[in-house]
Amino acid sequence: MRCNLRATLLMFSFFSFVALANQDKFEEKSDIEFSIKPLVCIVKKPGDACSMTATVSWKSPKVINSCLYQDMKKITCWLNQKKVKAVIEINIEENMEYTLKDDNHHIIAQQLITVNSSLAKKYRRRLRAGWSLF
Amino acid sequence: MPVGEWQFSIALGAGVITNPLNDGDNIPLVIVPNFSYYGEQVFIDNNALGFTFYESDAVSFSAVTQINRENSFFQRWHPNNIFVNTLSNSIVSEAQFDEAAQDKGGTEANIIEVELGQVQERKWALDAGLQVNWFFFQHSHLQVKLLHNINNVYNGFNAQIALEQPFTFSAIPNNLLTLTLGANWQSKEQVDYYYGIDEQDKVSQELYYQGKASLSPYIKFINQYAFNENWSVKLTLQREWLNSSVTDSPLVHDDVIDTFFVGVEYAL
Repeated sequence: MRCNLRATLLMFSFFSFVALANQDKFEEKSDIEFSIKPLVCIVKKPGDACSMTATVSWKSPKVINSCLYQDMKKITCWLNQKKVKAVIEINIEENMEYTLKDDNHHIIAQQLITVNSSLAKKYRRRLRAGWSLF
Repeated sequence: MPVGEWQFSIALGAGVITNPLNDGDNIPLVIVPNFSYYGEQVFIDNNALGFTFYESDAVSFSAVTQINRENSFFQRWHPNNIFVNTLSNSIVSEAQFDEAAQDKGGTEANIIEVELGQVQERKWALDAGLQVNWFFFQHSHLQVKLLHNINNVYNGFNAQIALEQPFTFSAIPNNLLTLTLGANWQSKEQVDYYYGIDEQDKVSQELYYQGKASLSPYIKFINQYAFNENWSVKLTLQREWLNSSVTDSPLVHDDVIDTFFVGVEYAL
């Protein structure tokens, strides 16, 4: 019985530790100020590829190693930095998630860049009466 | 329709367009492709190419050119029939042959007929003209086309009118039922070219026939139930009542053209 109680306490303290660790991670994540500007890439018509120069900046309360990813692709890394401001080239065809990851590949911040077209998608009525071969 | 994008779909199922001609093969519908492209003004919709020169919320006026339907009853290898199953084609032909043989054993009047194989080959006609589309009330659609032959085949007019009304039911949210009432008008020249019989056709002089203008009304029922964005099941039923100026021709056996198709459709 005492043994069971000890095991229960041990498990409880273990889960508490995990929960605290997660909380720390969450706090660390929320402490990073991350931005990519501009947030929107404008193309002429839907489906066009979008290219633009954007400014990435982030600030962390402590010195970290981090890398910037475009979806799964690594764009650039910074070693032992607390604050970064860099210029990157963005080439995308659709909305894209940019993520900042730490040494352990944990996502510590993320930002969505959207592609918008200046000409909205247009629609026309179909000029055929029903389905027919002729 | 999204402007500037091709739309493709393919329906796989079972169906037929009946052929009113003596010894004419019914057109089997097994794989039915469907494609369209609507640009700002230009459009391609299956067998039709058009240019819309005026479009408002309710009305559009377009110049169109399209392949004339009539020769599909005279030809077995029409572009629209490339995808059909030739096996079912031959089965249908045999069934028709038996039926025709039985008919001939009946009354004397049935002897006054001309079979498809006995007459001069008819040609494909290309028509061009004006198309008006009027959208009104609740998704009602009236389409009128006036076309003239442009490749020197029959050198006449034809016209089509169709009133289309879609219905949806709240109890079946992904279902669309479309009812169309319409009529096809063919000028004397068109009826005479396809259904008339003269010295060019190798038949006896008593069988000569001169066509007159014809107006054939039809009713069409299409029901489409969508499973998701790509897959749907489709049922099409259509009956066209041929005018006596067509059915009086010794080439013509039936006084209606029926279309039936049931199948699944995949939209790309």
